[in-house]
Amino acid sequence: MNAAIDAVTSTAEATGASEILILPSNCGVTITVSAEQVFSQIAPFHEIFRRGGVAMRLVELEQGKLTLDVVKPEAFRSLLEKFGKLMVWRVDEAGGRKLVPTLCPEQTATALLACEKIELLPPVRGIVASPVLANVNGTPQVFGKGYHPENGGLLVTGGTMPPDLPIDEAVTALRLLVDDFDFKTPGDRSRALASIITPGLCSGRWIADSVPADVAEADQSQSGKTYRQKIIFALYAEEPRRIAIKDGGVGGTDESVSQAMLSGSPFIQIDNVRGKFDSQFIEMTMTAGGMVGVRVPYKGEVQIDARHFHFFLTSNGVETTRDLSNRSSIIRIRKRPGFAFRAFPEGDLLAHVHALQPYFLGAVFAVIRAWGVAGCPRTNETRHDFRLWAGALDWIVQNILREAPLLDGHAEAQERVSNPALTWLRFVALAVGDEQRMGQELSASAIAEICAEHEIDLPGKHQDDDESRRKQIGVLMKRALGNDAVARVDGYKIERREVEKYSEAESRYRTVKTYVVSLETA
Amino acid sequence: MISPDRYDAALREMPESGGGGCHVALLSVANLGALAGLSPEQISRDLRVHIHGKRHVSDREIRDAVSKAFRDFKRGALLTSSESHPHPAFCAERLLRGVLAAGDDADEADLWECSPIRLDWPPDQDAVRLLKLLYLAEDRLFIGARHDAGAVHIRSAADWCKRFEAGAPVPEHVIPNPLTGNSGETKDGKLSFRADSCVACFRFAVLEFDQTPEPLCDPRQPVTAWPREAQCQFWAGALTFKWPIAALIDSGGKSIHAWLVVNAADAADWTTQVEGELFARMLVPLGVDRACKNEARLSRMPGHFRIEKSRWQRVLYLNPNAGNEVKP
Repeated sequence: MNAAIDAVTSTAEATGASEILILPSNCGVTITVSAEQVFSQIAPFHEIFRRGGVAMRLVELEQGKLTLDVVKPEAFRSLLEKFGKLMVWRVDEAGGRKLVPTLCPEQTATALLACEKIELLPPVRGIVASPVLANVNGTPQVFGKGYHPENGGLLVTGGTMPPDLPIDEAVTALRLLVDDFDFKTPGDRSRALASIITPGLCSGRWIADSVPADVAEADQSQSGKTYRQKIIFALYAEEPRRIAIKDGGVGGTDESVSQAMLSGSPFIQIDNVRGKFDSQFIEMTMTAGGMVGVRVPYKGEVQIDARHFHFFLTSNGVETTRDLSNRSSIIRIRKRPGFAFRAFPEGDLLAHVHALQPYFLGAVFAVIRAWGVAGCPRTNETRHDFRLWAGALDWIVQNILREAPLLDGHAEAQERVSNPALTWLRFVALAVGDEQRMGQELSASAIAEICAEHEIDLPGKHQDDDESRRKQIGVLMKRALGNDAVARVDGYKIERREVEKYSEAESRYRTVKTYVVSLETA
Repeated sequence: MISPDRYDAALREMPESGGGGCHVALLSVANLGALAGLSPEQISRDLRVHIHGKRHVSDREIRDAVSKAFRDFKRGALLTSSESHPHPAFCAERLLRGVLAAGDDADEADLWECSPIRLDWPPDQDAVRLLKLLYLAEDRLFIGARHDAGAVHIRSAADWCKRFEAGAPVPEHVIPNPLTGNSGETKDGKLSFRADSCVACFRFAVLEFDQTPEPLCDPRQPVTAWPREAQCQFWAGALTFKWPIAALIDSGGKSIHAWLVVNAADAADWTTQVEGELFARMLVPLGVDRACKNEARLSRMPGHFRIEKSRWQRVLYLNPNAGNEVKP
């Protein structure tokens, strides 16, 4: 076998056909000249890309997962050898010049990678695992596997071309993905459908603006909030970068998010957020609307197009900042005790989506095409900070999917997640329901006991004794209810009552506050 | 740009699927649609609506036809891929010119002259001579017409020699690599006695230039067949550079087939080394027909007289020791 390859190889060498990359030297080839030749020669092969001024390449991780990684100088040395024979000009014995074979020193590799001529490499904003319906100058084009320079460069790493679906069939297919969930309101269902379509719109650059994070919230664990997001990942054949909130807080999380963004995969999931979630970095990323600087250890800072990424959070009661809640699309589902999700020949819904991934992707494409044919219209929806997204998706869910307005009920959810007292009150209401004490007048002491039994933390500083806890509950109730006697949280009504009670200790009547939790519909 | 009416008419006249010629018509209609300036999506939708007949035509079949139409007309809309082409191992143009220069004005007589085996027999004895020199008596070979696939066409080299010596006509095609003699699955899952999976010894790769190598073409001119003189020069040059060529066969038409000794260990070795390295990074960039890359590739059988061309398929060069391992 080697005889044939060796013969052709030696023919190439004998005929001067071996590709030559001339590295810089003090014999007349500057770093810039060398970099221009090197990058021009390797650019057409779409193996090394430029991202935020840094050379990157596609590498396969252990589980077969593909990721973009920074090309470090020590790796670039040998990578170059794939593209040609490395030569350098040297002074010969007679004082003239001769071209001699060489290895690329790390210092040279560093200099080449830092040269401005790196701009000759093809740009890439990220990678996606399945075909994309791209908006190229207003015309839909399907990008299959391979590199596509349009819209800032996109690398499609695999996937099967989806079929063209009639729009009615596409709508039916997409509805199937949400039908088995018990959404708190029709608006939540609309936002769940929007969440399915949004990545397709963004990767195809139909929306070239910031889009909100998908925040999945459930009243109880095992309600299917993560499952719903998994269906989205399966539809796009993506494996999300999963990030756990570290004990050290969001500082470590920001670093993990940076690392995930550097990999180029579009989906980043922060699963099972408990309590307060506050990340200025994610907030900044979601509002940047363009490039953000991502810094990871040993790799320096890379400017990355933030619009390529989608954040997914799940929680049984997320509490976050006002800014982050304004950048979220909160989708609330309720647990359906004893409910059996629909079965498919392949197993459950997720297995069904995995098996028919091109079909469901085709359904998303059909919806995007229909929206494009209609002229990419938007409603005047202004109840969200990301108005371009809200207007477009509101139009799509109402006019193509024939669902409820996108943001119905959303302001209430935003208010709740950004108000720690309301988030706490929601947990209390859920716990009261569990204790079957709905409709009962509960004192601050009784609520403190319920909190202790259900391991519900009391936000804010207080000492760990009964009196302090009772006082803190009063403070939280005041914050949650304000001057009103009633607060409404996620379907629960919490009513404050004041009753006169005789105090044996003080030998007088006192005004005591009690709280009654009931279902809003009751 | 052609009139959309022609496209519409072709759509209406689509033959039925399942033997009516629907598959071929898909590409014809897609070509007309592309020329009429329609989008790939539109053409796909139209085809889907107009397809009729017994056989189910898949979306993929439609998509392939439309993609091919757009690729051929270089309109580029349905971007199925900007395939990551394997990185060529060298500058193809420089190597081609270097090899041609080494072959400097060589013609068939020069190839004949440099053949280690003196080809001093008449062309009707080519088959027997080649079989005896390149194969073991027990090697099982397919020799037959293009679409012959039955077990009857797989015989031992000794058996074929006996038949030809007895005056049996020499069929036009041969698979240079010995076969198992058993049936195996084709890529379509059908059973055949000459599928890639039937190859027993992975000795030779068939090399052929079906047209002038791209690096030598003027991009403004249509691509044409590579003249025989140039092919002779190339193979003479390749021999100068000691390419392990066991045989050069005059196809009796326009081209010369080279049997390059590769001696792959097994099918996996063939896939990685011959297909993945030799063809993908070396031969295809040089202009060798990429369709030649499979192990059960047909070549022309020397000693067959092509009536339609009134020419013999002949051995031009024969070296049983090429690669030193051709005949154990």
